Amino acid sequence: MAVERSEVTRIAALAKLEFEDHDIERMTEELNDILEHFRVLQQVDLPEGNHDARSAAPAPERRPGTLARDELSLSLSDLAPSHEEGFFLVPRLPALDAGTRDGGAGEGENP
Amino acid sequence: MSIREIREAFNAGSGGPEAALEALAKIVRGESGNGSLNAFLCTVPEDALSEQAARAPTGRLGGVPVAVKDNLATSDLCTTCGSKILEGYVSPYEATAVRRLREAGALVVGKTNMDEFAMGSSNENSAFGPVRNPVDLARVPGGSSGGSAAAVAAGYVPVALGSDTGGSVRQPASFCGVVGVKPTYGRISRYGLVAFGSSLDQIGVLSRSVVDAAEVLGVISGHDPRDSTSSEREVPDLVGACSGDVDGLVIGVPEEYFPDTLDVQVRARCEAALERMEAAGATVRRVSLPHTRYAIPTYYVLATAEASSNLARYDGVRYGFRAPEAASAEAVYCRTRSSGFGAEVKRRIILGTYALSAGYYDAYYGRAQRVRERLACEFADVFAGGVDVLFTPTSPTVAFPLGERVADPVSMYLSDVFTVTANLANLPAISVPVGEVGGLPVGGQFIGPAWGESTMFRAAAALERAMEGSA
Repeated sequence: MAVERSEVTRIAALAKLEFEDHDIERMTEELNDILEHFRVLQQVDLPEGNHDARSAAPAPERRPGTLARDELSLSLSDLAPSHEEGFFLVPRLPALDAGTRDGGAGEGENP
Repeated sequence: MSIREIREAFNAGSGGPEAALEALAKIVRGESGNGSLNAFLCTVPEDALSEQAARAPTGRLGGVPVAVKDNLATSDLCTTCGSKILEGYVSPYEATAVRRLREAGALVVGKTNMDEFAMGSSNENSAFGPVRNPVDLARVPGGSSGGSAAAVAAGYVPVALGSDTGGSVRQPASFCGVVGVKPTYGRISRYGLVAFGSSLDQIGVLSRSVVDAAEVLGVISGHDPRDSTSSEREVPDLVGACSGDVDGLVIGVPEEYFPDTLDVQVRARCEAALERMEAAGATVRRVSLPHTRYAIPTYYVLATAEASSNLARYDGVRYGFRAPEAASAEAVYCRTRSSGFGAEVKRRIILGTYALSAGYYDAYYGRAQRVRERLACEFADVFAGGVDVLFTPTSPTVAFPLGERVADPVSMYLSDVFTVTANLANLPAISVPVGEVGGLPVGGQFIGPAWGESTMFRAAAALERAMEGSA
């Protein structure tokens, strides 16, 4: 079964690679050409069941192969409840008020 | 000069850095102008080399100039892996193999060009331009350690380090007419070798003689706590093994490595080499390794799967090149990787990601793992049946013209048909020149049993002597 262009696009995204349209076209053709040669692996007569210590080991847990949003691509509102002009807003630390009682920001106010 | 000659002059105090400075002068002279091989990506400045020589201890490699493939970490020179994505990168530490060379008195003169991340069989995949074969400048030197092979063949250095994941030391050695050896997996520490296919990668040596390869392999072999896959086995006397005779040695010749499609001249040179081994006292026995026909797909599924994982780390955050003007983290990763990697590396990442992805894992990766086991078992059975060492052609052809196979990945992959099996079965293998076809070198390959480097070197040195005797 031939690999479709959409599948190559999905695989490229999983591999964090981006291609121009014509490159996707070329990559799809090349991948199909290569996989055609690899299909001979399906003809190998292999004994049933596990036959050495390595293959007898429990299979590793597999991921579903779907694209998840990168954690670093979260928006500011996902990371902190309050922000302004690209800065996070946090409660003012009391220690900062120790020497600025006259004219400093009040307790609980943002800077 | 041989390693022994350079070492004796250096260790006696009469040699100094002369051999290394002479090598550097040859490289600078040879690599400028139209006849350049493009074999080096960088060289050590002359004053730095003299300082290196002044600090170098006397030892087994005292004063010996050595070139190092650019995927081995060096703290005084860039390590780019032939890739734009690592351009200008200097490692904060050295590969164990390089450190051991220096501790034995060797002087590193420069880093050699290579296929990007060791992915290629012609050295045309380097981001810094292809290497040319010193035997014929219009032809490829082989790959991926083509720069190392060309540097040795051109006489710039007596010895160079390479890496061999599927034949990347032996095939260029064959194309350039020098000796190239990869040991049993685990014989040499991979610490500081930039990973391509971790279960297949081994550091190897290219040299002008079998005994020089044995000398350097002996120095860099042995356990390293920094690589858990390096073996604690004692390293045998490989130089001593080179002087052994082959009386009674049983050489297995697998029929699958001499198919009807094999170049007739390559076949003739290999058959002639076997006759010389028989004349030297060895016995030739025809054997069969039927799963060899599945070796190329097995290798390319496993190697690309491992590569797609190993190369995930190049995202513009931790190493080298970063694409400018990316608006988000995701864009930094994608644009850096898309513009930093070359076409072949991206092709293999896609192939490996496909083979590992949900829905295809069992059909490709899982199955290839099982075929690999079958291949390894076949080799083990042949050796258990009384064969001491196997002999095959190193490559089905001599060096091909530059550009001939660039647009046809499958044809390029098939260049590795006789070399990938030693990596899949974790076995030691060595390529030795066995003659020429139309002025182009032909290599013959000995494959030894696991940890059987001594026997393999004994056979290779005997063949080398037999070939010299026939010259």
